[in-house]
Amino acid sequence: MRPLFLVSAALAAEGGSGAPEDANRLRRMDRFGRTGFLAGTRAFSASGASRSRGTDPRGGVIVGTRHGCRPAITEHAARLAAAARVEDLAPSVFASTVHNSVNGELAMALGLGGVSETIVSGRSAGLEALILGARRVATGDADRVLVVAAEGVDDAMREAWEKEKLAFGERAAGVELVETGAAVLLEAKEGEEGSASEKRIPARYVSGTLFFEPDARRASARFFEWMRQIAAQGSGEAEPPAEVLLCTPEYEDFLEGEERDAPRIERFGAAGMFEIARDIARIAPTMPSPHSPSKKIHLYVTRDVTGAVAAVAIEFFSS
Amino acid sequence: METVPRVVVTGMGAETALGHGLHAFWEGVLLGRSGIRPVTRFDTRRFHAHDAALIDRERGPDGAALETLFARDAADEALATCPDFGGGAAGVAVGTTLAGNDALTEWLASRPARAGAPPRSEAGALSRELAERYGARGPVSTVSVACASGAAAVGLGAEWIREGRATRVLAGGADAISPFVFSGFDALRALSTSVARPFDVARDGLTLGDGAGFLLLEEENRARRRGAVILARVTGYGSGSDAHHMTRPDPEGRGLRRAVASALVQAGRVSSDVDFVSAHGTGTTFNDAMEEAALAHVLGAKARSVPVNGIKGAIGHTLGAAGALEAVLSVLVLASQRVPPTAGHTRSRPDSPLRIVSGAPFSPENPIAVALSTSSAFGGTNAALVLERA
Repeated sequence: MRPLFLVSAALAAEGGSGAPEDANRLRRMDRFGRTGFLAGTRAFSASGASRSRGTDPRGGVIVGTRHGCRPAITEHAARLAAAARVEDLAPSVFASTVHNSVNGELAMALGLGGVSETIVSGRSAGLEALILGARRVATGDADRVLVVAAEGVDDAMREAWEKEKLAFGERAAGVELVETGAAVLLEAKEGEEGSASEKRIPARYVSGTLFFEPDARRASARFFEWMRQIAAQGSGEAEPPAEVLLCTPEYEDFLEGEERDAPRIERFGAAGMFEIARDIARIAPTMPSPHSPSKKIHLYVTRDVTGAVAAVAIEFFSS
Repeated sequence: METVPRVVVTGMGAETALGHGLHAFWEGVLLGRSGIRPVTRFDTRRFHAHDAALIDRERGPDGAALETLFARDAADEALATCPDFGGGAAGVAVGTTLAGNDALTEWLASRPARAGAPPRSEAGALSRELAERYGARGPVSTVSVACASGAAAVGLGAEWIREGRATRVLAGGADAISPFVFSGFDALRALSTSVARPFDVARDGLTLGDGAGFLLLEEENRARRRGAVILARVTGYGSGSDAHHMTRPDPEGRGLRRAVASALVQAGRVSSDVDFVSAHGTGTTFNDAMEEAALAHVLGAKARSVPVNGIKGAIGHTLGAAGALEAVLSVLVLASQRVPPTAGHTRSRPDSPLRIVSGAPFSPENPIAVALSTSSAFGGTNAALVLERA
């Protein structure tokens, strides 16, 4: 297994704009596509990488999302309901009704011809995508993977969320649904000139876990067991886990106050990746080298109320 | 030295338009039958195409969507010889393109507008439904890379076992055909107005189909300890992107070639080891030409001798289930040493580089030890699986 690093990260929010060369591409995408694409291209640019004229077979894209291309699905469904004949439909809209649309657009724009996978496992999808991306790089299936988590929010989704959250009772009161895109670029340490080892690296991927446990208390116990393993394993010069962040709103008794305050914002499958990308962006301007003695492991955990848990340990090279 | 756990297949299940269960599927493809018929599930008068390979089934009394019913049946069959499946070392990996779409589109169109609670219309619900059903408490994921989803789910499940996240994984895919997807493919003019004829000189498009296929993957030592019958090994998985176009495949099949190369490397194999190919073979002009180019490149001098089957003339294009059902077919070929004919195919183009099995089952003189299963999808995603004889 190769050590692997989060060399750059970026966020995208509602209404963001892209690079001029992406204008036509962005126009044909739905909200999910645009949000994921913007986060992905920004993280790629932030790494200092340039867009390849050819195709890099060792570079891939892995995406995590709960609802994925639902905006395009909604649009195609509306067109179909109104269509008298098939010619009334828009083929380009239907072509966007695949959850791997962000993979395809990023692969074309950035010349990433390697692994292409999309995880759609509810609120844990983003961190699952990161775990899978880490695996792909660590085992040598890819040298770099752009991991993206995105949720595009249209009016129908907002309406659905207002009804869905009623099932969570008072804990969901006031929780706002926010369109989110987040991305990180994962790279192996070894490599040619310009590889991660020679860059200013914000963070290292340490480990990840995913499991399904509908009972919140049991899920909590399993998470803390994994956390103890991380602490016991140590990580070179790193300190034991410094902080636990529950990235998804706490609709049930899951971590019971052991964590940093859970957000009051619903980002669905992009929740975990949002927090990681934001933390990387926060420290990046002041980050020291990876050889700095000051390293801290942060644990990010996402919990879907149906039972899925995904968590990752990230080591930050920062004071 | 730490050894990587080996992944074996110990159970399988299939639901297709050829009938209920694995036996109906295998018997049907061996006999060259086709499940393609005029669509009666919904009105096709607005569309150019009118046929599909649909399973005659209605929604469950619990309101379960068709893809969920198909998945339950195929998964039940795959787990029939493993009654103690479940627990923290058991995972579920499901591939789907459409799960939840029907419920969502109905809710969007409901009157009064969007009445009632929104449906649990997310694709991820399918893997969680199966995890609940069988008590799986290990990794549970849904993969959605369009028509490569089923293969990607099998690859993901095998990966979990190799990296020690699980010792048993129920892996496969499921989808059901609705006006939503039928209309979309028709709008793209991708549907055949007759039947799908994979790799045939007169092919004119794909035919959609319902389906679910599941495999029980196990860590080999544990499977042997419980006395399970080992049907095959899953030795390689690879993924590659065309980086070319959202719906049109790269004419040279470079993304598929990368996926195959990656799968072969993981399996510790080279292309000359491949004895059988279960091709994606949609029956569209562009896909089949791309696949011919890619497989000719991958197999090299052996391309004209390696038997190739495409099952979409028999069961239609089952979308998220396709790669899983093609993996199931590959295991059956490895176990029986018989390659079924490609339903719908009668004649390849004269300069076709591939040996498409047509008309009758084929039993090669040399053993079929290594099977390659390929999938290609919208978004330019490709996936490949290498399966080997037990």
